[in-house]
Amino acid sequence: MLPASLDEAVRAMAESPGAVPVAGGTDLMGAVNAGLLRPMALLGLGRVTELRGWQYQDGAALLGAGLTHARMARPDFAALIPALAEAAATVGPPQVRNVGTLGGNIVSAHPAGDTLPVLAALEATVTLVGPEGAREVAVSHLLTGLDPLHPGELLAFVRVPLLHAPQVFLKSGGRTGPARAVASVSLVLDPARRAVRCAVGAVAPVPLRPLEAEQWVAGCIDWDGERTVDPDVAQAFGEYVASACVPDAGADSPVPTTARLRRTVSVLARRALGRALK
Amino acid sequence: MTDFLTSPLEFGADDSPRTSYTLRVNGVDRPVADAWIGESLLYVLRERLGLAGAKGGCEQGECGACSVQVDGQLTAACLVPAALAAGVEVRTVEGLAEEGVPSDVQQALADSGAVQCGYCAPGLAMAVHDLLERNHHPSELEARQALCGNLCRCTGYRGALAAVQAVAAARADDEDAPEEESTATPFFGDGPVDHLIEATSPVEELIPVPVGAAYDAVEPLDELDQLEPYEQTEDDGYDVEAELPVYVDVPPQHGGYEGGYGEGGYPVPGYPQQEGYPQEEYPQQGYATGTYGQSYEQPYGQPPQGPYPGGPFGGRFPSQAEGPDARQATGEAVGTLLMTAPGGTQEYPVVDAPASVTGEYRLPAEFATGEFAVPDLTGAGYAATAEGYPADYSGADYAHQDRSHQDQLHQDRSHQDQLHQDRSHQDQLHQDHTVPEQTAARAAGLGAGLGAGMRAQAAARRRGGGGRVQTDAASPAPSEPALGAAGTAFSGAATSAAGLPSDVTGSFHVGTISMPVVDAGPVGDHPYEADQPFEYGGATGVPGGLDPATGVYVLPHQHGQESGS
Repeated sequence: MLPASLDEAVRAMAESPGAVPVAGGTDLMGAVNAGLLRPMALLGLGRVTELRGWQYQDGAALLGAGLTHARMARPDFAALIPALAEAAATVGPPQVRNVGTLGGNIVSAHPAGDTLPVLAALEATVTLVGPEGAREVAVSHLLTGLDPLHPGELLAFVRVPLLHAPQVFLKSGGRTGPARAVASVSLVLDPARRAVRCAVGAVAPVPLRPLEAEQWVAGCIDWDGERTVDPDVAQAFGEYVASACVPDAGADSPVPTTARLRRTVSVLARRALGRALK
Repeated sequence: MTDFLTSPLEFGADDSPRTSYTLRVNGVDRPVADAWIGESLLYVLRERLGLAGAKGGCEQGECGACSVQVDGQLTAACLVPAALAAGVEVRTVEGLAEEGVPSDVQQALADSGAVQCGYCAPGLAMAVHDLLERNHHPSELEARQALCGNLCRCTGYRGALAAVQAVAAARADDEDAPEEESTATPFFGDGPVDHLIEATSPVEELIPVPVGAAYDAVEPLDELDQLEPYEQTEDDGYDVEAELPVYVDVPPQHGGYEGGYGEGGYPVPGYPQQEGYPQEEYPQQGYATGTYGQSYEQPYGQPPQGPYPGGPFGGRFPSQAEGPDARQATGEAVGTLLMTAPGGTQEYPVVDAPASVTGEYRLPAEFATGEFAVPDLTGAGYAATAEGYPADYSGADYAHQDRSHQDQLHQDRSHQDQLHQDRSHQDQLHQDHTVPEQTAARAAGLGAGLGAGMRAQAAARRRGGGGRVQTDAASPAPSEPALGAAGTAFSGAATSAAGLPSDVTGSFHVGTISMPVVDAGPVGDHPYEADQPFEYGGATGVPGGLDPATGVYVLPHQHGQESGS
């Protein structure tokens, strides 16, 4: 099934409840190839052109769920939402970025999904379109299962507020090439609310927000002035974030792993803050 | 009676959803009938359409062997549901060659030696095609980023990157040639080149790609760093992740090796410079610490030890392929000598200078096979004139009071012979038979010591079952009780050295190569006479080196002492 519009796609979903919506298919086919998934039907969303671009709406960008990572990594998009562009550029090899989509990244909700911490930090919301109409759900609610997808619903749009402030995405992988994230940190500044929003990805099944650390560091920033931060504050922020997001290992768990991960997150967060306030 | 073979829902069939569609592959409509919807494009191409060019590697989109173009986009065919690719143009590697003639990319890949086992080659060809369609003049970095999804475990990408540049240059020539004839514009200058690029490039290329910003975001964990205990590492701001541009090799950090080392600083003895492959530096970003580059050279599983750079030649010696003669006139440092003594370790650049400059370390072309040799030190006192040595250098630092070491340094002659016969050390030994006689005679002191050290080390390694021989600063002090395993190894190695003089006073430590330091006693008039109690084959001694008569290396020794040879 290859619907050409969102309405068609929603209708098709309603008609065949067992169908799996497929945009890029990179996650889906990985599972199919591994024998983990045998779809009863496929609903190809690649021809739904209205999902493959973005538009502006009320000071926010309404991103189509079918935006590919390659498209998001392009400079025009990077000028819009830098952190998301940086995350999209690190998703994988070009072969995957060319077809992998933002919506697929959200729906498959891989723990190491690179765009997820960015969306969490940006406090993005998604528009789910189903037979009963559309509804808006916070990305974090969708990811954590607080507000899951209903049967027959499609993720259509991602609403990302345009903050017009520095945004950083940093990722730590296992090699120099495209690699799955060991830890990733996204940090965005929200000067209007004088807030720092930070999300840590890949260390937990969903992106984590160290809220206390955010509030603390927001109070350390001179928002009216140069927006600089003391290196010690950045250091402390990094450790704050790390201790908040990487739990203490139990007595029988491999402690070096935890320490290592904490250190990675700490450095990423510290560096992200430093670059955002640079 | 049910026909098992034809009934779709009985034995021999499954109820998995099937569909029929038409793929447009390389401009030809190829119907696919009754295919399971979960079949990947790769499977359909290979198994149903007989186009086996795309290879199945990982089936996860990691390896790039299955790269095809779907709707003009480079795609991993294993991750595309074939049913959803119906109706769009699919281009496979079979479509690159027109009428059986390989495309320029394929020919360039073959010419540049990018193919070894060939499994990645179709994917690479597709990736290079895709790159050059979008970017007619890819930089080194852009090429690497474009090919980062194609794993090649044989050739190491050098050939593929050379092929990219070769094709780009060839295509540019094809396009430039008529234009230059008609307009006669100079190739250099402000306008013409830009115009050429504009004329031949798609619009996308003119948009600056934010490679720096985007790819900085990936921060690979340093393998070396992972070996370190967490508590022991100071957080200096550049500690966890190396801030390298992703997908870029580490350029040489030690200066003077660009010619002999491959692009990116990996030692590639025997690899000539690829034609059409600009040997340019990468945009070099900051490094994590001084240890990042070493992590490539550290032996696996060994924690970093001391300041030595590791590697069979310390990572700092000229490659076997290209000697230092290319830089001989410049006098730039071609290596580093780590001198280890009881007092500590010091690092000196080894200067490759013209022959007219006396007293400096000089690496003649005859020794280009990797042996580290310093000829013509006799009587000159290398510290007196060599560049880069600290003024307060004191040879006494390297003298060791304990001379009981000498007893260990008796060469086992049979061992030496064994070494010469050992084919596994052919590389090391090869030069024994190629060094000209006069050069051997000049190969005084240190060079011979190094040679003997290497041989002794090889002998020890052989005896020790392949263990890595390495000495540390404490090793020249055999009387000290705290001789670690490395020191023991050195002792074992030294025991097999031949014809040693009686006054070994310390050890050199060059990478993993150790050699005894000989105290030749007071020698001629050099500034350090008073406090330099040793001399390499000093004025009163005989330079060690290859004995052309016997083919045996001897260490420098003083007159009156007979070497083992």
